Amino acid sequence: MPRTGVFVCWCGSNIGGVIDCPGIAAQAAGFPAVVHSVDYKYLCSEPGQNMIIQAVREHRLDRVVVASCSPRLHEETFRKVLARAGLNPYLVEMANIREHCTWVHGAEKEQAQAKALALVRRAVAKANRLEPLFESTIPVTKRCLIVGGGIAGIQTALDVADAGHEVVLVEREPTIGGNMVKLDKTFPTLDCSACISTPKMAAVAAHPDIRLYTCAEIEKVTGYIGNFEVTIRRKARYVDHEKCTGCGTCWEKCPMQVPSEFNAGLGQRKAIYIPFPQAVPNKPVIDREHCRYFTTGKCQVCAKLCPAGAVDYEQEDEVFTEKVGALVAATGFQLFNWSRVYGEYGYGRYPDVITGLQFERLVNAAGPTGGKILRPSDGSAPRTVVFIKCVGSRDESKGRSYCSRICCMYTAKHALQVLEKVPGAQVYVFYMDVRTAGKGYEEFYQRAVREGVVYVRGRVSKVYRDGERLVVRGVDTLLGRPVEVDADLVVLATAVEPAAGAGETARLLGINADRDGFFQEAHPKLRPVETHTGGVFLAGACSSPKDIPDTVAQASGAAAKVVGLLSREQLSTNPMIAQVNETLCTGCFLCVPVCPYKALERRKITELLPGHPPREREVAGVNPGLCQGCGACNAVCRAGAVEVRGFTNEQLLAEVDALCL
Amino acid sequence: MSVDGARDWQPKILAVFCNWCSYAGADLAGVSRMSYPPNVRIMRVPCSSRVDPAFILRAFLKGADGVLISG
Amino acid sequence: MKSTLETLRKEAAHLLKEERVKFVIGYAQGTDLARTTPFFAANVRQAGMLTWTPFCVYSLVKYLLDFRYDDIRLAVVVKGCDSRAVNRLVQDNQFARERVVVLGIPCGGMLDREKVLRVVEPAAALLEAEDRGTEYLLKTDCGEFCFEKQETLLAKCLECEHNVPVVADRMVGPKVPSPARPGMDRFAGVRELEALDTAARSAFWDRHFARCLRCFACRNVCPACNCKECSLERAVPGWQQGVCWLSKRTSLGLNHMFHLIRMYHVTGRCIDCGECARVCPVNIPLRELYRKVAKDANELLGMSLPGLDPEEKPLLTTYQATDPDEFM
Repeated sequence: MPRTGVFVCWCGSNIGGVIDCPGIAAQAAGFPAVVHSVDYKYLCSEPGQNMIIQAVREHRLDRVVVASCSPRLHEETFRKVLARAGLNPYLVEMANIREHCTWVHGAEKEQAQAKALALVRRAVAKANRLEPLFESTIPVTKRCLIVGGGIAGIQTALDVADAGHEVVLVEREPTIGGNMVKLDKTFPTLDCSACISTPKMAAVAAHPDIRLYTCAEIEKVTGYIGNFEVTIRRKARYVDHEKCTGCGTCWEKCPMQVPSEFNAGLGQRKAIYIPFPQAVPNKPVIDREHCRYFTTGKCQVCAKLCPAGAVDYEQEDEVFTEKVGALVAATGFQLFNWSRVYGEYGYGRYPDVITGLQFERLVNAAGPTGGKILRPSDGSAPRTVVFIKCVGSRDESKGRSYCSRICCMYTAKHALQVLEKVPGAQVYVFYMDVRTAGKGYEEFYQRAVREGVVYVRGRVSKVYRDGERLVVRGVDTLLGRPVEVDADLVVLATAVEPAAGAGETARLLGINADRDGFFQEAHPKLRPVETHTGGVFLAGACSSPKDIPDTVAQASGAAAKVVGLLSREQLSTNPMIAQVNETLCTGCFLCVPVCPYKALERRKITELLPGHPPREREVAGVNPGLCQGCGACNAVCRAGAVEVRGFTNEQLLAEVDALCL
Repeated sequence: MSVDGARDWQPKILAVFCNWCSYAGADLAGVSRMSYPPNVRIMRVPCSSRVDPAFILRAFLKGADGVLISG
Repeated sequence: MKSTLETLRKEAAHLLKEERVKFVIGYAQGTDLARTTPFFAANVRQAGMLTWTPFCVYSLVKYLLDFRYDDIRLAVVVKGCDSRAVNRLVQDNQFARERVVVLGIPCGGMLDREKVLRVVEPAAALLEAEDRGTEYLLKTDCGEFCFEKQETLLAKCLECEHNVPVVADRMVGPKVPSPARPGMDRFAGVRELEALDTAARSAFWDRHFARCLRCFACRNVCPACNCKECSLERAVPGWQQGVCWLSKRTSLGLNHMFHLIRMYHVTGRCIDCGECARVCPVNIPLRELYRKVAKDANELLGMSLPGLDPEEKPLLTTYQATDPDEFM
């Protein structure tokens, strides 16, 4: 028979102001196995904790019930108290009589009292059946793999590598750099985006502790925190980067012209190409889909001209594995495809209706126009430019319900850039709200207004062509009248959405995505870079739209978490995981397919039974590194052979009984 | 279980909540000082997948009038 | 049936002579005309004692479990309904398929012993049974008796879905027509119960479960119940203050609990062989209970009758990223 102590907390007046705590303690004294039952003002305080320790020693308690706040808040605190008292820390059970009782039933004191008593009865029933649990340890592979080589992935990689841990950076494009390197200037300081990001890209390439795989994607992830094994497929580039010197002869002579992804479709590249001159690695790849040799079987110009003999049409995809201890998702964002749904803006039929990212390429000195703002249709300089914000953002019917966060600021930047580069230009911005939270952001927006950008509060209902020009028809809701602007160029601030394939990445990494496809943090406020899967972290816009400072800050935050994990020699595991009673297990393995963490496996055991020769048979086994203790296996095991420690059938049945009494 | 004529009859409801979502949700209801009927008694499981259908049977056997599983 | 029996004995003798199997588990004549007994033929002589009559009602497949951890090969005689049990055990990893030689016999239906004994003296010796399609002709030392199948077969045979075994290494005897009543609907009984209002349905099951003795016969005969130790029989002594699924007490509530837990333990796994209802000493229509969940599993999740395909995935264990999740 256990010796259980019950401690009822007043939490000042939070609990004590609604229910009669001494009364609860007095009644709990009569519950099975309870040998000591008291109340106290603040159990979590230093004297409160000492009182529990004192009582454990004095009354030889071996189970402790704390009736106070949510275990999600203070379970850890009281576990430490038990450890200090010399008990196994897992022998404490909490009754949540604050969040689940006094705070919600303050008006019905009598019923609150009855409910609190029931909750304490439950906790006692469970406590009486608690067993001591022991943490075990698993080793840590001191390497980290990062998916995505945008600014988030780059920053995380550099921070982790600088801390002395090896990093594997996997990027599916031929170059790292992501979206940031496509931008012209960054708000609100207007420093050159490429000037601040390309040195970081070069640092990645040069870092002795970073292994960079471009044109590569992860295919499979097995293992668990501290011990992942990731299968990576590096797609064939058809250029041997060992031999290639990056001289550029091949792409100069390539006869094929392909719209450049890097220039958001506004310029051309060749079929053998580097995405942009500062690409890392600075060596070309062949775009098999557009290469004349691959499509027609004839050409081979690049192979003939290459002085290093690096072109290799026979190159194949490589598949290999990397062992790492931590994973970081930094898959970033893409822009919402507005042309599918926004018929009122022409479904993408008008060449002079472009996205913000295309504008970035137009205004970029390294872009297709050499930094001159020119209309894509006829190459003339626009005199009137209209910006439309919230295209796809904050629009539940056609796009996404959330705010994309970066558009207000980059639109203000674009507007200023037009005024600066096209003297005498007229700039209009149609907006729903202007949101400028950030250091120096509001000042930047005010500068745009001061310099003559016309902000019109209202939605644009239609953009249509009238001869050479575009007519933007909308409404000014502040003045309450329709507005029509003749524009030469219309720039849409399209919504930020998770990068293509983010869902598949989430599935591979075993993490959750929210309804918009952004990766779910373990806690939106307190654990923003962690996920619910141990050892998997988030950096950048893959978890929500972010601007560059926030992305970099989060990337460094993720790096800190990774470094924290990798700097440990071993990890202690949560002991509240599944355990198999091998004698009861018949080896039906129904638990294997229901386990969401692939933690259950077949194991061979040798059984010794009286009167029988030793016999071998297969039973289920739990991998403690993978098991998260959800208990799905427990519920499907008819024999009751698999049980989650801390949530066993017996414990839960006792709780049901106590609560239904 | 007869409700006829018993106007002040209150059902006894067992709520089995997942530690990570609905249990935290019930905590949030508390923190936000929302109010709901006090005849709901909450117990915590590590995941709603831990709920064996027999727990529900057991609750009814022991006198519960309703079982709420949330996760 | 005479030629079938001869083939069966020959097959069994062959398997034993070649030492392909340690035993052939089959039927032998029982203590009276309308009884057969399970029989483990271990040698060629004993193979000659195997029998095949319209009274081989029970399934022999569960005997395989007695040898599940041994290293021997066995042969077992199965009828159509029993054959699904072989797949059940294979799917549950309780018996490796290659360790068992399945001797399948196409079955024309099994006679209801009670009805036969109303006509024939139990002490009469059965000389030969002849399956004439719609009737059985029993030749005994007290004369010949004819039994109309529709009148005298077991209820489960009139609802037979697979009278030819779905799995067999050797098919013994010719295919015979199914004894099932034409237009038979497996879920007719369930539909009738579903049509009742809640109170009437509750009263129906109360009436039946009140009689339950908790003798565990339904569990013992069930091929889906193959745990090493039954969680429903694992009682904890009172002085330990332990909590178990079911105490030893009998009460209507606990009886409900017992049957409902068993019901969902066999959900998606029950092969609908009907043995549970047949062995129940107090005639609880257990089959309707399990068929109700089978019907739901079929209608809601597209689950077909378990035991037809050993490769099939158990219910609610497969997940695809494209599964509908409108509840989210």
